[in-house]
Amino acid sequence: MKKKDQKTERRILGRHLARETTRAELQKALGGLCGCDPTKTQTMIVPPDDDPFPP
Amino acid sequence: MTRVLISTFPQDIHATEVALALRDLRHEAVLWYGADFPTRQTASIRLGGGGVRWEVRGEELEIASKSFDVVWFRRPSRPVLPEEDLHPGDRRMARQENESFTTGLWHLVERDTVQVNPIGNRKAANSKAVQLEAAEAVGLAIPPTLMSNDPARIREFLAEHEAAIYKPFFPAHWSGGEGLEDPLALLVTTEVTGDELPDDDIVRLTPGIFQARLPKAHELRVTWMGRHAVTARLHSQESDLTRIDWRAGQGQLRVEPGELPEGVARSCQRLMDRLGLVFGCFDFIVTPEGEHVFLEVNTMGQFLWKEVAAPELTLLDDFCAFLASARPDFEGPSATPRVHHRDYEAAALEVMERAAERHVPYYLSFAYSDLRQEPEAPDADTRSSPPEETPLRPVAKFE
Repeated sequence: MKKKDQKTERRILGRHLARETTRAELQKALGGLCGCDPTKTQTMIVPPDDDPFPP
Repeated sequence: MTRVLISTFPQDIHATEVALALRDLRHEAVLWYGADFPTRQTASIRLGGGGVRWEVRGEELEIASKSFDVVWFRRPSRPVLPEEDLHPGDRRMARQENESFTTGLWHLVERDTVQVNPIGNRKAANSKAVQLEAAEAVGLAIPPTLMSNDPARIREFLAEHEAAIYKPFFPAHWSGGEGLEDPLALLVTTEVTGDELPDDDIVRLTPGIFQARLPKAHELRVTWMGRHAVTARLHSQESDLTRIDWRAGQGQLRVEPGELPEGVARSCQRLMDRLGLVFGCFDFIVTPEGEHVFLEVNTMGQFLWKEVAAPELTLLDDFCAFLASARPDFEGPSATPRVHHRDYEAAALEVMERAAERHVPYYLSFAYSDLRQEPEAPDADTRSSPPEETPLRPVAKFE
């Protein structure tokens, strides 16, 4: 994974520092739904610390 | 028998497994999908005459006041409106009316129950600044930290430390970019130097969290329930993928049972009490010198992944015992573990698939697009899909 080339586009800080990867690489890295095998689930992949309780 | 109400969304494996396990343990567990309100769910609050009564009715749901011992606010979902059916001039008002009503309802639902966690405490407790300040106040070590949008202060801070990291207030990912096949940009904790910052006028647009990068021997993830803690040691330094932020390679992380020193555990309990929480997931760095440095406590973090990685960490059983005890001062299960994640995963997935067909999906809002003209992106605030017309999709899909 690599960081975005800072000269190409003006994006907010977080996007500027985000790591470029692919969906396949990320699914493999995250390990699926709750750490489960991703091949057993369809599309539900959530980073473990999501806590989306609304403000 | 303990009666447990679980506020969640259809694609939540944690809520689903816990509900199934509680029922097998002869407790009552009701899954309340809040996003069904108002299109597939109605609710009423009746006041006057010396008391308050509430009820919620919908798909596979009929609940009312004085019916529960415990409310697990796992993922309280906001109402989802059929915006495309509403006049544009009505949408914002409709949204505000719905949110005002449901927020009040949550406060009444939790009355006279054990709340995991109390709704009124979560907002402040979720603040990373509040957490770090409170953590240091109760005796936990924290990293040197700057939260700022001031480019000058940020550059000063980065210059003060040999190595530093940036982390956002929420994780994020973007899809739809160019170059790679099915590209995705992931934002978790990342190393940063002053040279890598964009222009100052961009930096000031979004505040960020900057911390000194500390050496790590390993990390700990501690799931806290009442007064009971389950500690996992995370060998995050064994791979480049997990070295800075283990979440970026969670599926490949080696996990084993760990231990929390007594003094650190006492401080954690003081922190939970100070923040008004009964459940939380602590993240610690353990330095090569053995110092335990607090990073954050997630007020409703995921925990089943620890049992997947290390089955001797019986999180499902411990958590069910916690809810079933209906005690905010729960000290741990008293019986040998009876329910295990591996025995409930398949059944939970089936329940979730059926739920996806019958209930309104709820989109987590950390997925963004790199396309210049953003497609109709899922957004928990504005997106709706009348179940009769649009196929329901699983949430948190990378677009």
